[in-house]
Amino acid sequence: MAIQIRPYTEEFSGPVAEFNRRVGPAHVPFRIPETPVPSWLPKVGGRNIYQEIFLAIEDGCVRGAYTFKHQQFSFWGRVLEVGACQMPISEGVVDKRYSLVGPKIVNDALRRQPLSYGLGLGSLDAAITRMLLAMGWSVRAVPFFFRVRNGFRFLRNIRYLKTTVLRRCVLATAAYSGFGWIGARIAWPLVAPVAEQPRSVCAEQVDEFSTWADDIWKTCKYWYSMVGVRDSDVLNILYPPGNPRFIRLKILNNGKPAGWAVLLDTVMSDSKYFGNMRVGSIADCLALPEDADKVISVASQVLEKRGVDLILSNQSHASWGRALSRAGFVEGPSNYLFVTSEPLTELLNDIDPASKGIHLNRGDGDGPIHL
Amino acid sequence: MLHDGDLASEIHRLLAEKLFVELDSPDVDLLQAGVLDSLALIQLLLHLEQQFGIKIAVDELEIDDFRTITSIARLVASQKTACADVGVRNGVQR
Repeated sequence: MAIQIRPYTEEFSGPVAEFNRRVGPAHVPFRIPETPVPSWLPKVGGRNIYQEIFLAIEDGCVRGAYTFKHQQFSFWGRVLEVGACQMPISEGVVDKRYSLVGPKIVNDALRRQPLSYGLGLGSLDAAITRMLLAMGWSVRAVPFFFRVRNGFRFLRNIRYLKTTVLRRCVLATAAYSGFGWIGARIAWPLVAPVAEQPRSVCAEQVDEFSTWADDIWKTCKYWYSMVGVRDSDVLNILYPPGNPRFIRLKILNNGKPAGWAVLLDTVMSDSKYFGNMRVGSIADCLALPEDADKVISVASQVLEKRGVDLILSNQSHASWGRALSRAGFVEGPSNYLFVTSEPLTELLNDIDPASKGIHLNRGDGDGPIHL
Repeated sequence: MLHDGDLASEIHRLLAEKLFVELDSPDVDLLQAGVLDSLALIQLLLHLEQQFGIKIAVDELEIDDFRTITSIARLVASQKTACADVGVRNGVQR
């Protein structure tokens, strides 16, 4: 029984459908797409950012798969190719005879690009995280920040807190007794004063990124130990013009572009975590670290004015984390993990031993469905 | 040098002590029995490398190499031979 890993081609659409049926009982959160061209970031023309899907094949049967995102990152200004191993899945989840497929998938990704990472993954206890750690990868959590804007709706809807009957009752009572606001503020220190933004800073909503974003990129790339290339070409691929889901902000300071942010405003419907809340997120952003306050403050105000109940953001860089705190955000437990291959870990240890200069957020993850 | 039987006993002991897997016979199908998931497999590989001073390339492995203690012993024996051959070649080059 020889497992071979090869690019996904049309002839395997049928075996992929059969694989998806076989792993169904394991309730994995995703499936292998039944067409070989990824719906997000397909390989088109000379793009530097694209995805490919690889399959683990045994005698014509699909036994696993992963999506590999090719992307350029800047390391203090030095641009290198980096790979992201996304959505790995193996038949080992339902049949331990295929337990070797997972490690083979990871090895294949490493062979294609030694500087590889994974982002998201779920938790330190997840099987994939534990396997990667056993294979010598390193893990860091990308801090998670939130700010409650509507205490009543927050208390009524937040689900991950409702893990016991007692907690459910307390939260429901707080919400309906009119103490929703107070409850939320007692539970989280939201009474902290929010830093005021100078009047010189404002936001302009734009339909696409253009040369002004290139100028920001050219300046900022030297200020981060690791940051995904975010020139206008890449930004317009990640957040395509015409897609109304993305709120693109150009942040101006004294009339000059100082940074940008990409926001989402999503009305949840019976979401596992957020119930029926209206959730705003600061999904992606860039500016000089010293200008992080300006971007976060203005981006939060835009989401507030739209009427969101809750604002979320994952930010790895200390300056962005501080900016969120100053804007009234609270840090919560993060399950957004950044795992790095041994070569990438070594590179980061060489150039930034404390990992303070890494700028990662939801924009570096596995696509709009998880933003 | 360890013989096949000694190797199998060593691997049996390693599985019990490091991975807490107790087996009645060296020919129990580890995969059928469901005792080796992908994490346990990687941990076993690391322990084998450490214990026997060998290097095992995941790319070259087949799942049958891990089916029983006997097949793992065969894998370790072949890797020990391969490592010894490389050592001899390097010695000659020097």
